[in-house]
Amino acid sequence: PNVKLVTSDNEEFVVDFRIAKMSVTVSRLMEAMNMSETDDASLLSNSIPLPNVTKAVMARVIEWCEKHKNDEPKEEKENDKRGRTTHVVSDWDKEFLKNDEFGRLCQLMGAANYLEIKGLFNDISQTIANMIHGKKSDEIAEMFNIHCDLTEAEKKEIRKKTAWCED
Amino acid sequence: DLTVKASVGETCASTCDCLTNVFKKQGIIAEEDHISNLPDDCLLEILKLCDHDDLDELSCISQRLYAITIQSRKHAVKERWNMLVKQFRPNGDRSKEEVTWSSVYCVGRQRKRADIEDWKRYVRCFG
Repeated sequence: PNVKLVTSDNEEFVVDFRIAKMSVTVSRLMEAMNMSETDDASLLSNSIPLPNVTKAVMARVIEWCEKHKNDEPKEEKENDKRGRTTHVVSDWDKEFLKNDEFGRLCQLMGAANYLEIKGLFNDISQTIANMIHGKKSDEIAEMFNIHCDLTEAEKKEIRKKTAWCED
Repeated sequence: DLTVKASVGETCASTCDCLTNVFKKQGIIAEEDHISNLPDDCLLEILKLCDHDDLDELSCISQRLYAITIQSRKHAVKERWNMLVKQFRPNGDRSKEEVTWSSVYCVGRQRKRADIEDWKRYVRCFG
Protein backbone atom coordinates (compact mmCIF):
# COMPACT_ATOMS: atom_id res chain seq x y z
CA PRO A 1 0.00 0.00 0.00
CA ASN A 2 1.12 3.55 -0.76
CA VAL A 3 0.79 6.81 1.13
CA LYS A 4 0.66 10.30 -0.36
CA LEU A 5 2.84 12.99 1.24
CA VAL A 6 2.45 16.63 0.21
CA THR A 7 5.33 19.06 0.78
CA SER A 8 5.23 22.82 1.38
CA ASP A 9 5.65 23.54 -2.33
CA ASN A 10 2.66 21.31 -3.15
CA GLU A 11 4.69 18.46 -4.54
CA GLU A 12 3.15 15.05 -4.03
CA PHE A 13 5.31 12.09 -3.07
CA VAL A 14 3.85 8.60 -3.15
CA VAL A 15 5.76 6.31 -0.81
CA ASP A 16 5.40 2.84 0.58
CA PHE A 17 3.44 2.56 3.84
CA ARG A 18 6.48 1.13 5.60
CA ILE A 19 8.60 4.10 4.59
CA ALA A 20 5.97 6.59 5.72
CA LYS A 21 5.87 4.76 9.07
CA MET A 22 9.58 5.49 9.61
CA SER A 23 8.66 9.07 10.42
CA VAL A 24 7.06 9.31 13.85
CA THR A 25 5.29 12.52 12.81
CA VAL A 26 3.76 10.99 9.67
CA SER A 27 2.86 7.84 11.55
CA ARG A 28 1.01 9.89 14.16
CA LEU A 29 -0.80 11.90 11.51
CA MET A 30 -1.89 8.71 9.76
CA GLU A 31 -3.26 7.40 13.02
CA ALA A 32 -5.14 10.64 13.59
CA MET A 33 -6.63 10.41 10.08
CA ASN A 34 -7.62 6.76 10.61
CA MET A 35 -5.38 5.57 7.81
CA SER A 36 -4.32 1.96 8.12
CA GLU A 37 -2.26 -0.46 6.07
CA THR A 38 -5.22 -2.75 5.45
CA ASP A 39 -7.67 -0.01 4.48
CA ASP A 40 -6.72 1.00 0.92
CA ALA A 41 -9.63 3.43 0.55
CA SER A 42 -8.38 5.53 3.47
CA LEU A 43 -4.88 5.65 1.98
CA LEU A 44 -6.14 6.68 -1.45
CA SER A 45 -8.49 9.38 -0.30
CA ASN A 46 -6.13 11.09 2.14
CA SER A 47 -2.78 12.75 1.79
CA ILE A 48 -0.41 13.87 4.58
CA PRO A 49 0.48 17.57 4.49
CA LEU A 50 4.06 18.36 5.51
CA PRO A 51 4.25 22.18 5.52
CA ASN A 52 7.77 22.32 7.01
CA VAL A 53 9.49 20.26 4.33
CA THR A 54 10.34 21.30 0.78
CA LYS A 55 10.42 19.10 -2.30
CA ALA A 56 14.21 18.93 -2.57
CA VAL A 57 14.66 17.99 1.08
CA MET A 58 11.82 15.46 0.99
CA ALA A 59 13.44 13.66 -1.94
CA ARG A 60 16.64 13.28 0.09
CA VAL A 61 14.73 12.08 3.15
CA ILE A 62 12.91 9.45 1.11
CA GLU A 63 16.18 8.32 -0.48
CA TRP A 64 17.60 7.76 3.01
CA CYS A 65 14.46 5.97 4.20
CA GLU A 66 14.45 3.65 1.15
CA LYS A 67 17.94 2.52 2.06
CA HIS A 68 17.17 2.02 5.74
CA LYS A 69 13.66 0.58 5.57
CA ASN A 70 14.82 -2.89 6.59
CA ASP A 71 17.06 -1.75 9.45
CA GLU A 72 16.47 -2.98 12.95
CA PRO A 73 15.73 -0.11 15.32
CA LYS A 74 19.03 0.46 17.04
CA GLU A 75 21.04 3.16 18.72
CA GLU A 76 24.75 2.73 18.23
CA LYS A 77 26.89 4.90 20.41
CA GLU A 78 30.55 4.86 21.25
CA ASN A 79 32.54 6.69 23.86
CA ASP A 80 36.06 7.59 22.92
CA LYS A 81 38.74 7.96 25.55
CA ARG A 82 38.09 11.66 26.06
CA GLY A 83 34.47 11.02 26.94
CA ARG A 84 33.19 12.26 23.58
CA THR A 85 30.10 10.36 22.57
CA THR A 86 29.78 9.47 18.91
CA HIS A 87 27.03 7.88 16.87
CA VAL A 88 28.15 5.20 14.46
CA VAL A 89 27.55 6.45 10.92
CA SER A 90 27.57 3.70 8.31
CA ASP A 91 29.64 3.99 5.14
CA TRP A 92 26.54 4.37 2.98
CA ASP A 93 25.33 7.25 5.16
CA LYS A 94 28.72 8.94 5.04
CA GLU A 95 28.65 8.75 1.26
CA PHE A 96 25.04 9.96 1.25
CA LEU A 97 25.83 13.08 3.28
CA LYS A 98 29.31 13.69 1.91
CA ASN A 99 28.39 16.01 -0.93
CA ASP A 100 25.95 18.17 0.99
CA GLU A 101 27.17 21.61 1.79
CA PHE A 102 26.54 22.84 5.31
CA GLY A 103 23.37 24.80 4.57
CA ARG A 104 21.71 21.80 2.99
CA LEU A 105 22.74 19.56 5.87
CA CYS A 106 21.00 21.98 8.24
CA GLN A 107 17.82 21.91 6.13
CA LEU A 108 17.94 18.13 6.11
CA MET A 109 18.48 18.09 9.85
CA GLY A 110 15.51 20.43 10.34
CA ALA A 111 13.38 18.05 8.28
CA ALA A 112 14.62 14.96 10.15
CA ASN A 113 13.80 16.72 13.40
CA TYR A 114 10.31 17.74 12.24
CA LEU A 115 9.54 14.31 10.77
CA GLU A 116 11.14 12.61 13.80
CA ILE A 117 13.34 10.18 11.92
CA LYS A 118 15.82 9.37 14.64
CA GLY A 119 18.39 7.50 12.56
CA LEU A 120 18.74 10.21 9.94
CA PHE A 121 18.82 12.88 12.63
CA ASN A 122 21.67 11.12 14.46
CA ASP A 123 23.63 10.64 11.24
CA ILE A 124 23.42 14.32 10.38
CA SER A 125 24.21 15.57 13.88
CA GLN A 126 27.27 13.31 13.96
CA THR A 127 28.34 14.53 10.53
CA ILE A 128 28.07 18.17 11.62
CA ALA A 129 29.86 17.44 14.91
CA ASN A 130 32.67 15.86 12.91
CA MET A 131 32.86 18.98 10.76
CA ILE A 132 33.21 21.12 13.90
CA HIS A 133 35.69 18.84 15.64
CA GLY A 134 39.20 20.22 15.82
CA LYS A 135 38.38 23.52 14.11
CA LYS A 136 39.12 27.01 15.45
CA SER A 137 36.27 29.38 16.21
CA ASP A 138 36.80 31.61 13.15
CA GLU A 139 36.83 28.57 10.87
CA ILE A 140 33.56 27.37 12.39
CA ALA A 141 32.03 30.84 12.11
CA GLU A 142 32.96 30.90 8.43
CA MET A 143 31.50 27.44 7.89
CA PHE A 144 28.26 28.36 9.67
CA ASN A 145 28.23 31.77 8.01
CA ILE A 146 27.78 33.43 11.41
CA HIS A 147 28.27 37.13 11.99
CA CYS A 148 29.90 37.47 15.36
CA ASP A 149 27.78 39.48 17.79
CA LEU A 150 30.32 39.40 20.62
CA THR A 151 32.79 42.19 21.31
CA GLU A 152 36.51 41.42 21.54
CA ALA A 153 36.39 42.02 25.30
CA GLU A 154 33.54 39.53 25.70
CA LYS A 155 35.40 36.96 23.63
CA LYS A 156 38.43 37.42 25.82
CA GLU A 157 36.30 37.02 28.93
CA ILE A 158 34.72 33.80 27.59
CA ARG A 159 38.16 32.45 26.63
CA LYS A 160 39.36 33.19 30.15
CA LYS A 161 36.38 31.43 31.68
CA THR A 162 36.81 28.29 29.62
CA ALA A 163 40.61 28.09 29.57
CA TRP A 164 42.43 24.98 30.62
CA CYS A 165 44.85 25.74 33.39
CA GLU A 166 47.88 24.52 31.46
CA ASP A 167 47.27 26.88 28.54
CA ASP B 1 -4.39 50.27 38.58
CA LEU B 2 -1.74 52.73 37.55
CA THR B 3 0.56 51.68 40.34
CA VAL B 4 0.24 48.05 39.33
CA LYS B 5 1.07 48.87 35.71
CA ALA B 6 3.98 50.98 36.76
CA SER B 7 5.46 48.24 38.86
CA VAL B 8 4.98 45.69 36.10
CA GLY B 9 6.65 48.06 33.65
CA GLU B 10 9.49 48.50 36.06
CA THR B 11 10.20 44.80 36.41
CA CYS B 12 10.12 44.40 32.65
CA ALA B 13 12.56 47.24 32.24
CA SER B 14 14.90 45.88 34.86
CA THR B 15 14.79 42.37 33.36
CA CYS B 16 15.60 43.83 29.96
CA ASP B 17 18.43 45.78 31.50
CA CYS B 18 19.79 42.60 33.01
CA LEU B 19 19.63 40.84 29.67
CA THR B 20 21.15 43.66 27.67
CA ASN B 21 23.91 44.08 30.20
CA VAL B 22 25.18 40.59 29.57
CA PHE B 23 26.37 41.45 26.06
CA LYS B 24 27.28 44.81 24.60
CA LYS B 25 26.04 44.33 21.05
CA GLN B 26 22.52 43.36 20.14
CA GLY B 27 22.14 39.69 19.29
CA ILE B 28 21.88 38.95 15.57
CA ILE B 29 19.48 36.43 14.15
CA ALA B 30 20.45 36.45 10.52
CA GLU B 31 18.48 34.71 7.82
CA GLU B 32 21.52 33.78 5.85
CA ASP B 33 23.42 31.99 8.57
CA HIS B 34 22.80 28.30 8.65
CA ILE B 35 22.27 27.62 12.30
CA SER B 36 19.73 30.38 13.03
CA ASN B 37 17.08 28.29 11.31
CA LEU B 38 17.80 25.27 13.48
CA PRO B 39 15.92 25.00 16.76
CA ASP B 40 17.92 24.82 19.99
CA ASP B 41 17.11 21.11 20.41
CA CYS B 42 18.91 20.30 17.18
CA LEU B 43 21.94 22.35 18.11
CA LEU B 44 22.04 20.75 21.54
CA GLU B 45 22.10 17.30 19.95
CA ILE B 46 25.09 18.34 17.84
CA LEU B 47 26.91 19.88 20.78
CA LYS B 48 26.38 16.75 22.85
CA LEU B 49 28.67 15.05 20.35
CA CYS B 50 31.41 17.65 20.76
CA ASP B 51 34.20 17.58 23.32
CA HIS B 52 35.29 20.38 25.64
CA ASP B 53 37.81 21.85 23.24
CA ASP B 54 35.19 22.08 20.50
CA LEU B 55 32.74 23.66 22.93
CA ASP B 56 35.39 26.20 23.96
CA GLU B 57 35.78 27.24 20.35
CA LEU B 58 32.04 27.32 19.74
CA SER B 59 31.34 29.39 22.83
CA CYS B 60 33.13 32.46 21.50
CA ILE B 61 31.42 32.55 18.12
CA SER B 62 28.08 34.10 18.96
CA GLN B 63 25.77 34.87 21.85
CA ARG B 64 23.38 32.09 20.97
CA LEU B 65 26.11 29.48 20.67
CA TYR B 66 27.62 30.69 23.94
CA ALA B 67 24.31 30.16 25.72
CA ILE B 68 23.86 26.71 24.19
CA THR B 69 27.38 25.52 24.95
CA ILE B 70 26.72 26.28 28.60
CA GLN B 71 23.63 24.06 28.49
CA SER B 72 25.39 21.22 26.74
CA ARG B 73 28.27 21.22 29.22
CA LYS B 74 25.90 19.84 31.81
CA HIS B 75 26.74 16.37 30.57
CA ALA B 76 30.37 16.70 31.58
CA VAL B 77 30.95 19.78 33.65
CA LYS B 78 34.32 21.37 33.32
CA GLU B 79 35.29 22.24 36.85
CA ARG B 80 37.63 24.99 37.92
CA TRP B 81 41.09 23.72 38.79
CA ASN B 82 40.95 25.27 42.22
CA MET B 83 37.96 23.11 43.04
CA LEU B 84 40.09 20.00 42.88
CA VAL B 85 41.59 18.26 45.82
CA LYS B 86 44.79 16.41 45.14
CA GLN B 87 45.72 13.59 47.46
CA PHE B 88 49.06 11.87 47.78
CA ARG B 89 50.04 8.38 48.72
CA PRO B 90 51.03 8.64 52.32
CA ASN B 91 54.61 7.44 51.92
CA GLY B 92 56.02 10.77 52.99
CA ASP B 93 58.44 11.08 50.09
CA ARG B 94 57.17 14.06 48.13
CA SER B 95 59.55 13.55 45.23
CA LYS B 96 57.77 10.29 44.43
CA GLU B 97 54.37 11.71 44.97
CA GLU B 98 51.79 10.34 42.67
CA VAL B 99 48.18 11.03 42.12
CA THR B 100 46.01 8.01 42.46
CA TRP B 101 43.08 8.59 40.17
CA SER B 102 40.63 7.05 42.52
CA SER B 103 41.65 9.70 45.01
CA VAL B 104 41.00 12.68 42.81
CA TYR B 105 37.77 14.27 43.83
CA CYS B 106 35.97 17.36 42.98
CA VAL B 107 34.48 19.00 46.01
CA GLY B 108 31.06 17.50 46.46
CA ARG B 109 31.19 15.36 43.36
CA GLN B 110 33.19 12.54 41.88
CA ARG B 111 33.66 12.56 38.16
CA LYS B 112 33.13 9.59 35.92
CA ARG B 113 36.12 7.59 34.80
CA ALA B 114 35.41 8.58 31.21
CA ASP B 115 36.53 12.08 32.11
CA ILE B 116 39.85 11.08 33.56
CA GLU B 117 41.74 12.24 30.47
CA ASP B 118 40.41 15.71 31.18
CA TRP B 119 41.40 15.40 34.80
CA LYS B 120 44.99 14.70 33.92
CA ARG B 121 45.15 18.00 32.12
CA TYR B 122 43.93 19.81 35.19
CA VAL B 123 46.14 18.07 37.62
CA ARG B 124 49.36 18.34 35.65
CA CYS B 125 49.78 21.97 36.54
CA PHE B 126 48.76 21.47 40.13
CA GLY B 127 51.17 21.81 43.04
